[in-house]
Parts: sequence; C-alpha cells; structure tokens
Amino acid sequence: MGRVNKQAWKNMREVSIIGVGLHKFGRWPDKSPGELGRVAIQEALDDAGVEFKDIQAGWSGRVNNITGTGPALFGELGQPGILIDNVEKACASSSTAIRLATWAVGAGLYDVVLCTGVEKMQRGLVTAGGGGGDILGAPYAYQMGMYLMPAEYALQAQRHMAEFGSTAEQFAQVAVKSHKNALMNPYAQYQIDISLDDVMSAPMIADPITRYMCSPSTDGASAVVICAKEVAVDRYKGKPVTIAGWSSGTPEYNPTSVGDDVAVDFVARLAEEAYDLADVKAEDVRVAQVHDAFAPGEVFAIEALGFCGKGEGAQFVWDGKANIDGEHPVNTDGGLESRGHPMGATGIAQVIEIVRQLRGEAGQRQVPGDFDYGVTHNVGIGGANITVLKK
Amino acid sequence: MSEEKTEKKRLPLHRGLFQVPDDPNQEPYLTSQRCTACGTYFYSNRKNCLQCGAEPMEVVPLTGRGKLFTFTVARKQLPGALMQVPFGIAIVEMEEGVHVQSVVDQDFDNLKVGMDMEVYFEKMAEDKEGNDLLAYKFRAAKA
Repeated sequence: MGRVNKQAWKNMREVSIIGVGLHKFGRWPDKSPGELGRVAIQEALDDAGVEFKDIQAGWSGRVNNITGTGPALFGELGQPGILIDNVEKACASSSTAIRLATWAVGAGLYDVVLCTGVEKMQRGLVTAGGGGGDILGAPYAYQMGMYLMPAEYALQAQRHMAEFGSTAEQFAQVAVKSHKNALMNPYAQYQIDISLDDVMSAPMIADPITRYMCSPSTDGASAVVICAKEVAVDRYKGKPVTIAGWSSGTPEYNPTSVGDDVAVDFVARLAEEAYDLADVKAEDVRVAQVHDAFAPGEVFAIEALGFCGKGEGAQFVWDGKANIDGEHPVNTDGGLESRGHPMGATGIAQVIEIVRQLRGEAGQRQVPGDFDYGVTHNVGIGGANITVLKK
Repeated sequence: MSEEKTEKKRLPLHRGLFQVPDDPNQEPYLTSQRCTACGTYFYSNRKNCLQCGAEPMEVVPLTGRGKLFTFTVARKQLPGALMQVPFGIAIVEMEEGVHVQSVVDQDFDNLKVGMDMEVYFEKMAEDKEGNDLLAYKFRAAKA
C-alpha cells in the first residue's frame, strides 16, 4: 500500500488557509457559475486581505460541465495569465483542489494561491452514471434500476442495523441534528426545524432513508485563499489556519464490501494516515465536517474518523455526542443534507466551516471550549479526501 | 414451405454475469470469475485479479444459493430502467463466498439479513429481433 512519505511532508513549508468565502447555497436558476464563483472568491480575498493580483496560481473544482470552469471563475475578477487547473473527483473535487494547492505552496513553488469550487445542479435524482442511450447496453445495475445513490447508503445502513443493532431512528437523528445546525448558518440552503417524527414520516426513498435524509440538489460556490504561513503572518491580515495533515486514496479490494462508493474501511485507513501526518490522535480532533450525502454516511464517517468504535456511530449520534455541545461535534454547518451539496463546491465549504470553528468565528453554532484541531471528510466516486486543520 | 421464421431465442440481458444455455430445456445459471492463481472469486468481467493481479481468470458456475447480506427497497425510479419501483435490492453472499447483487420483486417487505436466498431467471425485455432477454433476480429460498 502506497503511503505518504511523512518526512517529505514534514520537510514542506507550513501551509495555511487565510481567507474563506461562500456564495449562499441554494437554487440560483438565474445565476451563472461565474457569478456564483465571483461572490465566493471576493469574500475569500477580502477575508484574507489579499488582492486578486497577488494570486499566483489557482485550482478549481467542479463536476458537471467542468471544461473551462477555472478560467471562467477567475476571469470574473481579472485575467492575470496565471496557472489555473480544473480538478474533478466527483463530490470530492474541491477538497482535491485544496490538496494540490497545499503541495504546490508547501513545496515552495508559490506563496499565495486560490482554490474554488462551484456547481449548478440539475433538479432531482443524481445518478452515478451508466444511464442515457440504449438501456440494453447499460450496466446491469442500471438496467435493473438498482444504481441509485441513496440505495448504496441504504444497503450499508441495513447491514449496520443487522450487525450492530443500530436503528432507523438513530440514522434519522442525523438529519434532525443537521437541520438544527443549519438554522444557525446563514449560508445554508435549508433552514427548517424538523423533528424526528418529520424525518421518519417523510416519503421513503430507499429503506431506511427518507427524503429528509438525502442531500438536496444545490447551486453554490466556495473559495479559499491558501498561503505559506511564514508569508501570511508578515503580509496579510487573514488569521492563518494550518493544513496539518491530509490523506487521499481509493478503496482497496474487499470481497465483502457493500459498494465501493460508500466503503467505510478505506476511510478509516485514510484518517489514520492523515492524523499521523498531523501528529494528532482522534480524541484531539474536536470537530468534523463529514460527507453525509445521505444520513447514514455521517454515522459511517464518525466511526471511520475514530470518534467511536466500529458499529457505535449511530448510538453516538443518538446520544448527542455529535451535537455542537457534544464530544465531537459533526456537521456543525448543517452538512450536505441541510447546508446543501453543490458537488464541486462541497469540499471547500467543509474546510471553511472548520476554519471558522478554529478561529472562533462560527457565531451561534460555535463549538464551545478551547480546541486546536478539526477534520473534513469528503468522498467522491473514485476516492476520499481527509484534511486535518489546526488552529 | 419457404417461410424463414427464426425461432425466438433466450439471451442474457447482460453478458458475462450468467449463462443461458441454447437448449431451452436447460436452466440458466449464475457464473462467477475465479482467479486461477489465488482462487479469489469476482462477480464481474475482469482480465486481472483484483487481489493478486494475476491473469487469467476462469469462469465457474455458482450454485445460485446464499444468504442475504444486506438489502433495501428502492422507491425512487431510475429513469429508463427496466424495473419499476418499488422493488427490493439484495446483496447475497453466495455459497462460494462471492457477493452478488440483484433485485427482489416478490415479498420484498419481509427481507431480513441472514435469510436463505436463491436466484431465478425471468424475461425482462426483448431485443430488436424479438429474442427474450433474461435477467436474474433473488427471492427467499424455497424450503
């Protein structure tokens, strides 16, 4: 198994996030990706105290219609002729952009760079591919109507219920908590207070997943300014939050895995590697933003990140340990379910929430107490990114 | 008689996952690939083993019986798909150990992890020549 050379990582310069910006997530039928991106980029630049002309390179995450996106977004602010790469890793696109930027700045190639994520999504069901054209030529899972993203998570959830005794109510509680957190997030797509009964009685999508347990289709944009810490502290006003560790990888072959798209075991391996690069333990990582494309995903992530033992994640949520005032608050901004999930913008939005929490700038949803570390868990078809951030 | 009417054939909806014998009196059966080097089973069409990287793979018949590993009930229609919701989705751990996924359209509200399952084959569609295209499905094993 290829592992990161830890010494090479430690030899890199310390890389920090010094500015964060979002365009409110929601449905913006009349706005172009460029318009969404411009708002997020400008907010990130202002937050950092960086002028657009100072940006030396850029990485831009998007999933659908990605061609030309980066230059289009950056082009809203100017055309300085810098390197701009498009980055695609499905729902993990913009956290991948952050990692690539981290490598480049850490290696000393650039001092100050910009990462963006944007998406405008079609309404309704997102399929994982294979549709269109002649159904007789499609993959079997598509032909038979099985290739449904909520079903992938539901299959994992049912197994979890049978193996560990978790319940549909416990998985539903994830959605209750996420929606409560989003009430305190002005950038969130959905700000509605829902009860456990509301979640349980909503239309069933794939048992035990009801409609409130699914992330919606969302338009939105996100941006971060990334800077070498040694440069940032001298030059810019933005309070630096360090990228302390990271890991990225793909599921290893497992003859009994339920579905690679939501495989759990490889995420635990990645979390362990990211914590090792950051020289931190799971118990020191206070707050997490995780990939709850469907509510059970939060439970699996909580286990993989080491906040509790395998099989204990649903009870962990049920007991309130993932609440803002709990042991390890998770998805304090509402998560994918309530903040919204504009696929290409999600990874950076997760990082932004951790930055705000570590700066103590999360307003009403601020996690109480003194803590130094937070983590993001962003999963796309084709792999996952773990990013550990340090105050 | 000069009428050249070709007889309707049974064909698999998707090739490589199961065999449909030419002889209509013979039952179709599930197949799996098995690595000739390390013995790992795969339910897919592969050239190289995912476990050890070796080739070639051999095709082996499966008994078609196993235990329900996990399931759900799909209630959202995938556009263009041949199955109409609601229907069950099952992952069955076959007797050979390999996991196989398909639909359950009988009594899918009473699925329970660990129950005995069996495969069966059913016409799902016709091709342009009018041949029957068979799919495999799971149901609770008959005692």
